[in-house]
Amino acid sequence: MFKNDALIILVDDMAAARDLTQGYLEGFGFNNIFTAEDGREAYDTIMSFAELSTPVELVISDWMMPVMSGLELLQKVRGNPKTAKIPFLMTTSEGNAPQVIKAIMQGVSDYAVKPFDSQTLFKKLTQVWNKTHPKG
Amino acid sequence: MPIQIEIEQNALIIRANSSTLDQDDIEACASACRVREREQTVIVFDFSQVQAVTDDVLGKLVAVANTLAKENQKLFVLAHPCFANIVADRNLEPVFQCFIRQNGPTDTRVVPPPMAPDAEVSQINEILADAVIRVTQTMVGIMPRRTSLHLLGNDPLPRIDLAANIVIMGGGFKGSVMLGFPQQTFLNLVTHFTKKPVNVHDRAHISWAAELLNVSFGQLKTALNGKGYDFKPTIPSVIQGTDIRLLHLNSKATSVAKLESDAGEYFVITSIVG
Repeated sequence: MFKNDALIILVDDMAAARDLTQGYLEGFGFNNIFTAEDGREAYDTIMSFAELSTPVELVISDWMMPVMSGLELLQKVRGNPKTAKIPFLMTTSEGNAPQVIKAIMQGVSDYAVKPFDSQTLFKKLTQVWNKTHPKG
Repeated sequence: MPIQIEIEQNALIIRANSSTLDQDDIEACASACRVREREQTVIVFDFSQVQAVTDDVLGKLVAVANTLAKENQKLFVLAHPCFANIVADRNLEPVFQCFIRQNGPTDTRVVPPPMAPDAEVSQINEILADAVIRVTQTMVGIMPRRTSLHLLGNDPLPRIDLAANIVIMGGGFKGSVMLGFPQQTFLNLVTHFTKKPVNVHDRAHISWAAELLNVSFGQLKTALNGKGYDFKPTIPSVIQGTDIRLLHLNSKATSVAKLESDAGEYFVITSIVG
């Protein structure tokens, strides 16, 4: 599983949603969480860390945001060799099949439909970890 | 065709077009996986319409997932809430590499067809109110109950001091959905949500009202889109004041659901003109 000091970027334009997810993450023991209000701010933060050689270890992003959406952020992250392999969890209230498939096509690591409780988020983090760090 | 196969870019999408899966359906899925091309690096099982499955069929599906896992094949499963519950009850979620649970109603109510205006506004508001109840329970940890559902008619709404609002776009409708809170109810709900006493709400608290409606509306869209509706994504706004009055010129176009909870009462309001 991700270490407690894993560098996590949490992106959501809604303060309430950020607070809720951040509270869950802190409850799991994570202590290195940066937040952003839109995809552009998040991407700038991700690139800043990449330049410092302290890469972001997980992005948790909402889909529908002003300035730059979660999908656009995912495309930019996957399109840059320095950030292409960062695990990316999309969290959104949009759970219809075409939208989920769109995110899958762009290389999302996993997808959580809101609202989710802390247990669901923990399961998702475990799944993302197992998928991005295969045994053997 | 109960099982439909599509190829999009690097993905093999296997979609079940019925509410149940049988052994033949799973065999069709397995067969499509076996003959996939090398460049299809992702497999998606779209089971977003599947509401029931027997243990035998589920066992066969697990075998398919295990085979794909051994081949290090990326597998995404998109699951209807009813199907997701069946999988979760049997602790089988970890079998599937990426299991995406849709949120929405788990009952099998008949969704009204679009453009049937008279019955529609109340039925849509009922689905939305149920979504608000589920979302409130998950986000806030309290369980509201719906105590009334009626057309606005000539009755004035009780006092509302804060309202989150989403304009409905798409599907041939004009209208909006709204969550209306009396001040004290809102403060009580935010207190539950933040787990700290809140006596005066701020900008972050207001965004909570918008998020509650946004997520609930997402569930409504998941329940209705694909059944002839086509609600587009929109962004919520919040209206704040004192004793806001809701008036509609067409009294039959607005449905009001009253929710009662330990935090107080609040209202789910849908207005639609086809």
